[in-house]
Amino acid sequence: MKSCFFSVNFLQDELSSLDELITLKKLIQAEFTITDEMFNNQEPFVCNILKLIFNCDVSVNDDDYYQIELVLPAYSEWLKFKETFPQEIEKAEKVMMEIGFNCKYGWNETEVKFGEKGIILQNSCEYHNYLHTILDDIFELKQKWEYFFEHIKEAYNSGDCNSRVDDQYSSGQRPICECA
Amino acid sequence: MKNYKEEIRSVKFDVKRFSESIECYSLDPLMAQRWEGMLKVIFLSVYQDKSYSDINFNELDLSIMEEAFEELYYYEADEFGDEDTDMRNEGHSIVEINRIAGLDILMSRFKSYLRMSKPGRSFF
Repeated sequence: MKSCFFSVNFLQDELSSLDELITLKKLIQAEFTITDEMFNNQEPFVCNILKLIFNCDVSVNDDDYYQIELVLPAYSEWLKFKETFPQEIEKAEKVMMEIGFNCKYGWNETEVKFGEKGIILQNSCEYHNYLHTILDDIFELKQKWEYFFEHIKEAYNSGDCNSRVDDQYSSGQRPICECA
Repeated sequence: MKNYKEEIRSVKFDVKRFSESIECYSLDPLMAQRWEGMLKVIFLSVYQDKSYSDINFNELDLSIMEEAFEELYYYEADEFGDEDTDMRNEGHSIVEINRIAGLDILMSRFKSYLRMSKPGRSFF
């Protein structure tokens, strides 16, 4: 006996719909405020969610791979810090690039890159992953970005060679001055 | 011709009957609760037209939602329907839920509708 008729296209549509529901549920649990405005524009759902999480604009490029760039207001400062602490920034970026973004379903992979205006999320093949499966990774990326930004900014402003970036995400702690 | 999409959506009224039927199966109460929760989630995403502002997310259990997603993901699409597909889907929660909810009756009517419709025509 079959159930109600589920075609491939129908299942894909409904999986996307359910993926959005689960994503919203997770965001509500993480105490984000969902507004109707998020659904009143023509942008893809994933862009609206990234805007909400990172509180920034996004730009989309799908020429070669599907890329979403998080246009982070503080990113120009990050580039400035990079001139002073290139190795420390490189290490921080490496830690963020190593976030897995392992979608439980399918073969798609998301890579983190660092562009001219902000952090880039690049998908390997499909339009996007099932968002709810990588939402925790997106939260982790935000957490790490904020952590590294604040600590490197602190060191930059203090100019204190004994300042340390307490890197809770990778082993070994070195004074900032050793990296600069 | 009847609007079958509307008819599918009207199935939401069978939730109460489903709850009663599931008791007849004498399932473990916790299991029954999860099935009922999963049915609600599947109804919400598949069978009902709702805007997000209409949904009370407090009533939805995240783990059940994820379980429903997994069930839907691993369901073998019916358009490749053959005996093997039916066998693979047999015992699938969606099939069982639909069976208990009486959706199998609707399915037989869809089959009749498909026989009447032109090739390639979509009723969703």
